[in-house]
Amino acid sequence: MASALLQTHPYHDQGAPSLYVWESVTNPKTQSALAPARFNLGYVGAISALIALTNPANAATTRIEQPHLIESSALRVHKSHVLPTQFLEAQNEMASFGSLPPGWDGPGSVTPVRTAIGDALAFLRLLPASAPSPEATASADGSVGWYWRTPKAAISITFRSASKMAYYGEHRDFDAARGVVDFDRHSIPGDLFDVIRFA
Amino acid sequence: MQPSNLCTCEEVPRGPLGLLNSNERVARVVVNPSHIAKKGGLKPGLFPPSHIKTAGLSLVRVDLISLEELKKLGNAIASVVPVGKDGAQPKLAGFVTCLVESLRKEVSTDADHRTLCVHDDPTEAENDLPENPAHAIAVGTLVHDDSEIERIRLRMIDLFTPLMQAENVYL
Repeated sequence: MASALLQTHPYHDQGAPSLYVWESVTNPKTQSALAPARFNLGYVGAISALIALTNPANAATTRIEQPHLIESSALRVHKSHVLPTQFLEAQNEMASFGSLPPGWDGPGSVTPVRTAIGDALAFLRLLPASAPSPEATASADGSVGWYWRTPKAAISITFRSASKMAYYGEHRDFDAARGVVDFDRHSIPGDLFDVIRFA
Repeated sequence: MQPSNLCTCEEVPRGPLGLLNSNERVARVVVNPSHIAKKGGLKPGLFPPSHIKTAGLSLVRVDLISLEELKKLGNAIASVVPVGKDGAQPKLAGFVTCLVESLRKEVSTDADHRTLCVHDDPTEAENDLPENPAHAIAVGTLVHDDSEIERIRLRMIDLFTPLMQAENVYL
């Protein structure tokens, strides 16, 4: 299933924020079922597995006893879900936050929330290759996020537990993007997408 | 709260060092180097959202303590961090500072009200940390929307100085 670039906001009724939808590579439930196999595919595979394993929506459907599906879906991830190379460093740093011990940022600091890291990694995979690479960032309260600072834009996105995403982005050519949304790992709010794409 | 007014929480001293003056500096202790961007500059992670929103962002009143006291405090905080895989105790990354006035002048997008209160918050000795009469916090004036917290974090990156070592705080 090839990644198809964006349809402009198919959902724009009743004042709902416009959404850009990037076709998902695999069925999330299938991803979850195949997560353990992807660890055999190296670091990229492990990242994919982390995204799948940390998706609360998939937690109840994990099944690992179907080797034929494992093989086919794992290949699909490699063929159609290749992260642009400029994002690899950010991806690896984000993934590394999961191994920070309690106290990593001083008294009272906690290990970044695993589902938040999974959300952040899934978000990165929704970005177009033309977008500048973000900085990965983690906080003492367990939240993680992405950060851009360019001559044109400043953007901060935070992921916490419960799949919540909060964002604020300034761009010299656009109105500020801001919002708090339920992040479904498949779509990015349109205003946020614009400030990132043209950052 | 109007932009020009002090909040009532800023008008009542809580410890022996008294009220924060708008022209004094506060420092944020940078424990982990991951808070520094690859191109330099700070990342938003240095300013945890929930601390800004409700718990209070920990700060130190650097103009009211000595260099030695600041070093001692920083080292005490760093000593709480677990040792790394190499068995070595991580070192403190440094400090960033900001004028109290800058934080108090931060206003909402519509410029209708201030977004941060900054007041003294002396702490007792606890676990491995010494008492800290020069402790202060910055905290949201209202229960801000989380997107507003993100905006405030971006502003804080602009308001605080680049990372520096304790000696440079007092140059």
